[in-house]
Amino acid sequence: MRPEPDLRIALVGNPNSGKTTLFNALTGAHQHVGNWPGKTVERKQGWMKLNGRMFSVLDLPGTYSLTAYSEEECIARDALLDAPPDLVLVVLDACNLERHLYLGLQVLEMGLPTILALNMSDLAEKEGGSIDCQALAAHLGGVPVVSIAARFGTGLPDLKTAIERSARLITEQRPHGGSAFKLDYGDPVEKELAWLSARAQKVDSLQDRFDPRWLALKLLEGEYGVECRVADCRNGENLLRHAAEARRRLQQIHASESQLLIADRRYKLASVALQGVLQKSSESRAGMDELLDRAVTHPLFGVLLFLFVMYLVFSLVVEVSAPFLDWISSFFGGPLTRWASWGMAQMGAPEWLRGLLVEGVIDGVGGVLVFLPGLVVLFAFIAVLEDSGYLARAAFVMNRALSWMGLTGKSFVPLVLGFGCAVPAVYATRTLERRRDRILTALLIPFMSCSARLPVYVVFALAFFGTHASLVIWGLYAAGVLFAAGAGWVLSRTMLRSEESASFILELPPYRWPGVRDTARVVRRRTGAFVRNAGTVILGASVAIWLLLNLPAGAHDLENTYFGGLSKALAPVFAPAGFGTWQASGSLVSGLVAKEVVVATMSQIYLGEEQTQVIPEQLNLGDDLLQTGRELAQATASAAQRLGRTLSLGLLRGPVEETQGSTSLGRILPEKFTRPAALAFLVYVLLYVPCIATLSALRAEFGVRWALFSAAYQSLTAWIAAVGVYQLARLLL
Amino acid sequence: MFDRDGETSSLASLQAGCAVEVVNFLGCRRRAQRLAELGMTPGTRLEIMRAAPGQPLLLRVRGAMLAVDRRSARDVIVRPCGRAGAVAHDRAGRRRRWRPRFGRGRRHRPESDS
Repeated sequence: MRPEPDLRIALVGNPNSGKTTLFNALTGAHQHVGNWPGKTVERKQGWMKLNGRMFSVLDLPGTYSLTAYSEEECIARDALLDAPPDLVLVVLDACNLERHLYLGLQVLEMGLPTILALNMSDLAEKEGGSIDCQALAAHLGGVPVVSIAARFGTGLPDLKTAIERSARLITEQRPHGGSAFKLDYGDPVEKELAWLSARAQKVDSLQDRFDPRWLALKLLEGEYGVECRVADCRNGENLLRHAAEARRRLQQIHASESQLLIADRRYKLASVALQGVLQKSSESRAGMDELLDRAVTHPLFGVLLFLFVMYLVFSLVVEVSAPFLDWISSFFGGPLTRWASWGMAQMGAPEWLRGLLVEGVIDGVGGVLVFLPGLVVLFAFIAVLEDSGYLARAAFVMNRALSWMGLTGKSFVPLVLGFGCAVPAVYATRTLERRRDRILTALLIPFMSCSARLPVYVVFALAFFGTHASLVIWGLYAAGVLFAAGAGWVLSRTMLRSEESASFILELPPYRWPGVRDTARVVRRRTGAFVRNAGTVILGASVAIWLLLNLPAGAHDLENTYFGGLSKALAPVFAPAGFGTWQASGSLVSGLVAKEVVVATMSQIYLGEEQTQVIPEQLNLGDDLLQTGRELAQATASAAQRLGRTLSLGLLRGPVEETQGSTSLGRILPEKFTRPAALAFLVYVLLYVPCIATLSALRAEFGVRWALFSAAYQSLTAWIAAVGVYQLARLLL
Repeated sequence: MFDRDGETSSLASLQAGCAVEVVNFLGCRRRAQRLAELGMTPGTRLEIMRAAPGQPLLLRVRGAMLAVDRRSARDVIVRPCGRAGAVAHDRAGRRRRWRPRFGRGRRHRPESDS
């Protein structure tokens, strides 16, 4: 897809070191993100050109250490071990240099050509510090050290010059600064290192892959990834036995274990290297941060604050999207349909082709694209919460609730991501350490109502519950969370029992203002994935459903089509839940492709039934465009007004004019469903089988059996819940 | 949780506001390594920022905020930072009494000026 790069660069850094910001600053638009959007969970590669040379840049997942602890950290470690890049760019937070330099030292010890980029130097300077890059470089064997502020582009020219210089050295095969860097671990450790590396040299297959001293060091640390690679070699078992011996000897000399000695020594060296380099005390963290943390991590107030933030996010999503919903829906249903029918008629296209385009493609895809504005708001909020550092605090306060189902606060971030899309959320479970925790979290993620389900809620809630729509939608989200809690409680006590809960060790990163450009990029990527999905999966599904709806040819009644037949066979199952019609069951089946398709199918079934297509005699493009533009302006104004009202919590509630955010589908629905049935239908949509994309993500991560289990237990839960809600609501409403 | 000479204790038994020094780790090797790699190497000074019941501990380590669950904290052996016995006033008897837990502790400690 791209020309073979001259040089491969890998970005390594702690989480929250601003690695992704630097990645964006270096590669700009030339990025390729693996299949699924998610925060550096998948493989992110970019390209940059410097003086006619092509560099590929790989953004590795954030890691605190090369001794991997979670699956995500394993990805970073494996990338460095198995396909060593030509040049490693270590991104360090200048405000937190001592801790971040720990990882920097580990990378330097690998002997790969390395550049240290001290990021956020602007903040460090504001806190009254100054960093002498030259002195630090001198301490670390001449490794290039550059101070940058990736968000503002400060220091990037220097960094690029350093990269170029390193590239020249590498291609000319001259020694790179810092390559020969060795850390002095002091007498007993050094003796064991020498002894062990002499033995490591005897293992031929390892010798050309790893430096013996480095290998010995990793074995003394007991690094699992390296141990596995050694065990795979001939004579590897022997070496591991020697390593265990050496570790035992060290433990007898010192009271503590070898890996602690080594970590301690590295930290000592880091602080020695920083003496005279860093002009500030590590205590100078802003008092504002501490004040905020005092409130946000409070056991009671913190939880309330979190619930309030969530409420705000979801009401904003609903409020802001409603006016645009009107606009896009009237555009798709009005001018666009008119133009398309007119164009097809002019070209003399046959009747069925016109039907496919208007009823299949435009109704189907349009019915889903309508929800774009709401999704943009939702994605933006999740990105801001993530980047500002709040999500880590929320994980801290929610730890208690999650420990109730045998999980830790760390599962919280994947669960919140599930409100956006379950697929990246399933991948995000890689930040967890234990497989059992990963599986349990992934099984609960589909209960977090993903953005694809929002279209269904909005259409139904607005059609049936009018002014209470946003309450109903919020209730659905809350119900999803409650069901997740219940399912987690049951699963953690039955199938996924664990003797003891995993440890919860989490850094709460300093608060940072989220960068506008980084947020915009994340939003664009996630929205892009949704639109691509609408253009491919949903388009395909819409066409397929249209065909099923119109075949066999000449079937005038929808019920006699293939689709009708299939759905009718299934309908009785849903009778106890109040929506035992073939139309409802049919749209639910199509929703397996992606939940948004439920709306698309309903539009096709119900609107196709109602509408008699009129081909306009004449097309008045100018008028249509003017009208559309005017409506857009109105929608924007209305959205801004609602935004203000929600943010001020209704204090500024003026004369509330409720623009009924209703689509043409919404106007028909009340004739087809009773209110209890509509509620039951919504609950069913909330809980039933995850979409195919989620199931395939589950399969990829945990195997077929867990994917099937997920599908089975969720359909069962959904059916029981829907029946319960219907029967209860019939008594009450 | 105090050992024979009454000096070292488990991190989990302490209250917010204490400043301590890591002595050693018990239990799981990998977890000890992770804590050390996050900056809690033996000899490092820790400040306990928050220690609410049921919540993980919130620590300040080398200028960073670290959340550590109570079970892991139980396996971290610490001793008072500075003068001996400074953390000897433990949770017994004080636990029920409400007091602001953040930062205030530094002023509580008699040796804070040393």
